[in-house]
Amino acid sequence: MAESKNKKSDCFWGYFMIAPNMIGLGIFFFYPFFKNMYNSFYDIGAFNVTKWAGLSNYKKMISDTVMWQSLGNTFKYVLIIVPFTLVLSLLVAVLLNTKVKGQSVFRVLYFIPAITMTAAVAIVWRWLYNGDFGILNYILGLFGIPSRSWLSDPKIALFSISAVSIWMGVGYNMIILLAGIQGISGSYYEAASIDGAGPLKKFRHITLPLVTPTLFFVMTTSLISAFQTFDVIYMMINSNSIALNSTQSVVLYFYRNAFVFSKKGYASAIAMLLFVIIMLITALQMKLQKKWVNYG
Amino acid sequence: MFAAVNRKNNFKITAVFIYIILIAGVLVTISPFLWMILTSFKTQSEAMRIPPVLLPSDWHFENYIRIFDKLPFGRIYFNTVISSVVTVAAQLIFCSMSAYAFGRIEFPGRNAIFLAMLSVLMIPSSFFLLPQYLIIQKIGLLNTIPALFMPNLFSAFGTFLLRQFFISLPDELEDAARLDGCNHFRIYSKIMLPLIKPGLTSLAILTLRFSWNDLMWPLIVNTSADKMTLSAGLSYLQGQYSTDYPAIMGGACLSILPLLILFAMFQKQFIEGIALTGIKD
Amino acid sequence: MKLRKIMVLFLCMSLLAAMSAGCGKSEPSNSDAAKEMAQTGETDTAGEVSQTGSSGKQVEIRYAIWDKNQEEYLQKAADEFMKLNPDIKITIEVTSWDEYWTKLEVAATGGSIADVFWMNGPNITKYARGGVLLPLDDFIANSDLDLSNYPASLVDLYTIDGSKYALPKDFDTIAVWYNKAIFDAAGVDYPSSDWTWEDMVEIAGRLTDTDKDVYGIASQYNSQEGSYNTIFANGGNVISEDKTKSGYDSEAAKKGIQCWIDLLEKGYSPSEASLEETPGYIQFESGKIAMLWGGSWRIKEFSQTEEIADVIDCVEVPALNGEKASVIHGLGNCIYANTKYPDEAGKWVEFLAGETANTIQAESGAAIPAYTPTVSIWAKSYSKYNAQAYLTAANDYSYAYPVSANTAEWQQYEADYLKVVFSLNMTVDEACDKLAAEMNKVLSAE
Repeated sequence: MAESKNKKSDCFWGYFMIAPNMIGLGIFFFYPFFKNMYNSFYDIGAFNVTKWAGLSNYKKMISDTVMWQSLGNTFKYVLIIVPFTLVLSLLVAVLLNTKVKGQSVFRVLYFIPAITMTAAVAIVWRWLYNGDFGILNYILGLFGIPSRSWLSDPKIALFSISAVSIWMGVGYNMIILLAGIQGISGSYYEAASIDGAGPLKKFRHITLPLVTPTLFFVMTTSLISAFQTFDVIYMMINSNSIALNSTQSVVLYFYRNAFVFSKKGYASAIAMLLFVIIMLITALQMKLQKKWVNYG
Repeated sequence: MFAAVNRKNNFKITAVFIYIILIAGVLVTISPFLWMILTSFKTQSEAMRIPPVLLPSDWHFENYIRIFDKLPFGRIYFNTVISSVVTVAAQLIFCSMSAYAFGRIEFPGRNAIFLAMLSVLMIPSSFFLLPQYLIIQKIGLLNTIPALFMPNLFSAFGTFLLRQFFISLPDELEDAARLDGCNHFRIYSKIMLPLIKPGLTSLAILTLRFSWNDLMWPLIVNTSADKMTLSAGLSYLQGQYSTDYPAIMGGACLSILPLLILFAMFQKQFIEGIALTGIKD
Repeated sequence: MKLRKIMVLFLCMSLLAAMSAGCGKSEPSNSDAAKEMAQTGETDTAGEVSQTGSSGKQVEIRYAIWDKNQEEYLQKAADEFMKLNPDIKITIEVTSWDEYWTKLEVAATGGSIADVFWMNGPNITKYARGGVLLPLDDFIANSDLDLSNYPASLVDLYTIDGSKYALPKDFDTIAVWYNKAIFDAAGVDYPSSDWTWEDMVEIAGRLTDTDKDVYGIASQYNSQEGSYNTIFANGGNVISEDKTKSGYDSEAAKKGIQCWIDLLEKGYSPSEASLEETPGYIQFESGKIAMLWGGSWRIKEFSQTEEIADVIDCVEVPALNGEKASVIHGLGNCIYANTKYPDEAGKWVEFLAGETANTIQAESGAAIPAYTPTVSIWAKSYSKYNAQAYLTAANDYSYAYPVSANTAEWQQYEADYLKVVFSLNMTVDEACDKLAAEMNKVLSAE
């Protein structure tokens, strides 16, 4: 009797307490999800004039070279940004975990880009990168390295942008990794020391395997954010730049289709594609994690 | 004996090496900010001089006054603060409530609903943009302050994060309270919520960072200058005054400042809060 | 301890809020802030209240523009207008060029668009056919406006399917700016209005000094301030008269582009990449470029840039194969079709098209007024320059800015292909043929 009363009350409170968040998510996320799917089958032009389009948006996508190029760019961003961010943040985290003096000062300094507005960071870097008046070219010039147009040379602009993303991401991920490393019990290291293991060996056989769960977390979040690179490109590359096609990510191309070219139906189809890709990669990652993540 | 000295030297060399790497990293991390600050006090021609001048000949504080002339910066600050504070507060309340329910109450369909909710995490946020925009348009909120934060009040990520914290609390706490006749809402608000403060801090910091940074949404949803947020304002400043580098850098300084001050005050909480997100997986 | 920190946080937040509230108050200069707040609140939410616009309530007309250089004079005009119409309040909203059209379309779709806004040639058809613009025919017929006072090519530009959708605000033509200091240093005579393209190339060569990082000219992909003019001078066109075919695959058009590429290949101009990062007019302002083809809208900024204001002047464009050509274009003011206050918006647009506003515009020097009787006032405001060059261009050798129904769409192709050409990665021949094919596809879909 009391049991069932309890169950009833559980039921009430359960639904009651999830209601606000779930209703909000329903309106602003679940409905948009299906709406977007629906929109991808329509032609939605300027001022929302809507026409049934069947699969034509998807067909168009197949022959749209700019779209494939932006997809390729996105993969390049991911392949550059994620590994560099991981390696550099792991390096800094490991170095900070040695008995350096002023660890907390270092931590704070490295963390500053992480609390800086992306738009501001992009603006500052754009200024540093400027081919004519930027300080980067000047400094490189002191070492005899010729000037470059960092952001308007289609061959290197993508790397310049990636560098900024990495620069922004290292401090943030380092903090998470450092916490992960510090969570490893000291007894492992003591045991290794007794066995005469050097620092590199300790890193290889203790730190690295035991930090994999954190590494996995960091990797997942950086992966998702690298796939959605938008702000930095938007702020650093002009819409009339020759480097636009070789730097724009799928999300930026989506944005331009939806809000600049007023092809909202097509934009929805692009979003669908991105969705499928991210789903696939997440699934793949989940599968692969069993091979390398150590939940000991 | 000899070996020991050698080893000691080795340690020293490694230590020096570590410091060099760390300090080089700090330089790379910090110098763009220093250059930004210096540029913001230069005159326009000084900023564009080659070879560059390191320090401004005079500190032109009036650059900052100029920014306030160009943009309703006070208003933009206000919008950003309001929208961030509301977003953080709402997420803390809504997410912790639903996280408690998902983590500690058994009700029919719980797991299915939870999984459905998690699927939101996997979807790129740009996916929601267009329909969200149309919703805001339909309820007539375009170009208003609420439009800035409306869709961000609810979060699947926040729920997921806080649920981890609720799960890790011991059952005895709950059982004791149940015997005293507490209902779930009381257990949640009086007993459990205070215990997951670190989780709430984490979520607050992440959300604050997110809503402070968000560019695409405010860009789309609000068109008039006095309804902009800082990121959109910066984008505007750059578009409109593309050559006035001192003013643009000044704008960047101003937009960085508030979070930097908060960070300076709550350093420990910030860093621990971020660190926790990785561990509670 | 924690409590104290939280208190500090709240204090900071409220301080910020108070600060910004203070800033907000200081902005509206003449009316009191509280009243102002109530006003905007009303216009935002309740449409019905404002229907009774004339009954003593102040009505707010939002006016969207993209050029910050013109805000000042427009504010002056608005103040003048508000003196005459105390029941109307004009709010000017400036958006940067890059975002103007994106935001305008989003706002038009969402119904939050300004009541009156700037329009240009490439976009007029899209907006007129999209039902966003109020047809102005009846309004013009009932007003005192005489359209013969405006350049005919601009009136035509804003006539779509037989209806007029915008009133010309200003017009612009092209001339060449030069930096006398660089000419003097190299001992080269200043150009005069009878110069030719070959003269220009020769001068550019003599002025280029890459050691000093000085270039004779800026040759950047820029249709309106660049290749359109040379295409027209060469006897080519961008789009056929009946707007069905691209003109890019003709020899004349190709030559009109090739001449710019020659300048780049000779090294007389900074590279396309450099010009993209720091546009030609900025490099000109910082004394790195000796000559620059520039629209009349540049004059104001140049005259206010201390570093160069006193050492520059402008001259008519050089003749190419004996012909001169300058594109003429101009902005229009138009009214949102579903504005809550068509009458008040109409009054403002009429005022902007009238003599008072155009005189203020001319005196400010922000743009050449479209109301031709006031044009000479504009030239007078730049007496230290040969501003007449722009007016001569308008009178003697102006060509209408090429548009069709989907201008923006083929302009995208134009930019995509020609930028590759200007960065010297494709031949003019190949790019123009491909571009023409793409353009024809767009045009035939119209």
